[in-house]
Amino acid sequence: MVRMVRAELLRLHRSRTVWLGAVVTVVVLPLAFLALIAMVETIRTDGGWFAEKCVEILLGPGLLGATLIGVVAGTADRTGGVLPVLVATGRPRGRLFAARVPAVLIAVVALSLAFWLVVGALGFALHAEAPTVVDGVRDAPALTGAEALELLPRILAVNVVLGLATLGICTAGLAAAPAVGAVLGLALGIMPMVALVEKTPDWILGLMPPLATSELVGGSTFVGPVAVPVGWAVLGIALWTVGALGVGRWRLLRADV
Amino acid sequence: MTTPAPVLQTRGLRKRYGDREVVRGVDLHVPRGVAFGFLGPNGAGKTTVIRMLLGLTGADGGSMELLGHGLPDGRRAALARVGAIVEEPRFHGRMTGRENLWIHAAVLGPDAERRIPEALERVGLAGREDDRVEGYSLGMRQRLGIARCLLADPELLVLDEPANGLDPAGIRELRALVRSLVDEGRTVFLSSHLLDEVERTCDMAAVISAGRIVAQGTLDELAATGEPRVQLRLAHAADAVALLAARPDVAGAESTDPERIEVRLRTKGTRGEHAVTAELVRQLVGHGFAPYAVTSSTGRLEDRVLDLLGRRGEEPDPPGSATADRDLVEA
Repeated sequence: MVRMVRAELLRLHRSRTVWLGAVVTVVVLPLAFLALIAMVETIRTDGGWFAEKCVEILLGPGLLGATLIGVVAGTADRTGGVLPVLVATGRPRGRLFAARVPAVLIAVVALSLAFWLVVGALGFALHAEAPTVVDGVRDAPALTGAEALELLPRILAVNVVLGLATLGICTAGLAAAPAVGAVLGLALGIMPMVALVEKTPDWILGLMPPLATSELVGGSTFVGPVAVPVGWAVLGIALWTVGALGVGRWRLLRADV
Repeated sequence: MTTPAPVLQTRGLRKRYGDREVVRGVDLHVPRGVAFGFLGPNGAGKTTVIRMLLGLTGADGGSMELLGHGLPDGRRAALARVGAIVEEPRFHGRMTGRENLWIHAAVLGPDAERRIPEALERVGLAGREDDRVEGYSLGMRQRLGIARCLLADPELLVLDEPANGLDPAGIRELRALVRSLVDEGRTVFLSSHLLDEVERTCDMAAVISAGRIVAQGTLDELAATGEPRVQLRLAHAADAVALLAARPDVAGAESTDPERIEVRLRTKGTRGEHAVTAELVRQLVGHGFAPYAVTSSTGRLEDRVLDLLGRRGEEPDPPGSATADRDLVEA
């Protein structure tokens, strides 16, 4: 099984799509963030509101990398035409699928850590430069060290759920349309988290991972706290993720390949 | 003396897609240590049978046995010693040849990983194994596909249309490789729509048409079981047909073009066929006809297969022509 997981990781490592997602997540978005900061410094007229949004805007698309990892893990064998050959080895299909799960976990955690380090470093650096607080609102999208640490488990949780949910959904689709799987994975991966917030976010924040951003933006009126006890929230999200994986496994076990 | 167990056996195998039954009671019997051709036009059901054997799709009826294991229950044990190319060898293009083999070996187990260098050497890809597969020619991909098959140290190799897209030199290499695998005691089940490929590579064959096996056996058996035929070329062929058809040793005669007559003989055995053929020529000459070419088709696998597929009237490609591979693709 360890060899099969390593093989899955190699497949992810060699995927152009995964690298594209990783580069966008870890390099392009933080650079865009910096560019936005520069713009804010130039055009700010509202006491920092736009600067606040920069953090959310940065964290939201950060999901892209995790989603693409799930898409590639769930579809590469099929689109590459390799799945029939692997099935023809006689290895149980369930084990072929099972090897993908830890591979996605490892890849998503690695990507999330890289993303967090870059965002955390940027935020921390900006914090040192941040002007004084005006009317209870930060004047720059900065992070304190404590905030950065608090951010990590949220980024990990959101990305892991997304990566695994997308894996299940894309495997269930058997790669008929990986792009559709990606969109579904992204949308359905976020759904349980959106459902767990007290207030319905507006359409932009609806695309954001509330668990990761609700605390970060502090006094924001757009995102409220989790409406159920944390244990129930975790259980709900875990069940949803396992369900998505179960659908993918079930489909792979039964489908013609 | 007991007959050795077949490597592959099916009885009454059936598969249906919607209302269309694509495999209709296939009985196959593939003995150990031979190159076995699975011959038929595109769409005859070859790939579907292979896909059922490999567990890629389920059967709707009948039974299958691979390497002594009943399927689907014994699939894992059976397929552990089977190497297969299904439809065409596909790989992860951005990965190297070696990496692609390594991924496959990871599924098979540590022994398979140790066989990677040997398999690459065997198919002539040593030295190119660290190139990305997206840069490989089709012939190299076919060879890499066979290398992937060899990782399981297979008793049975299932090759689905392995000559597709290969140039003549590649086909010759493939043929030599298949024969060397058979010489090692392995069994090669080679699906093809190319008569030449099967005739030159295989010891035995089964012919499938519209989802049914219409013949199987050694190539000699297949060729010999056909109705003996003689083809005569002469001017005014249509006028000579009635003369020949009236003979008691002729089962039928027809003029397939203005200068050709196809004669089906009632006799069996080479000597009898030669004697009757000589009589036909003598009679034609006696009636003022001048045959300028006589061809016996007895023993030609091509004619037998075309008979079986109901496509007898087609003009075969002349030897050495560009299409001499005798493609059975349905028009």
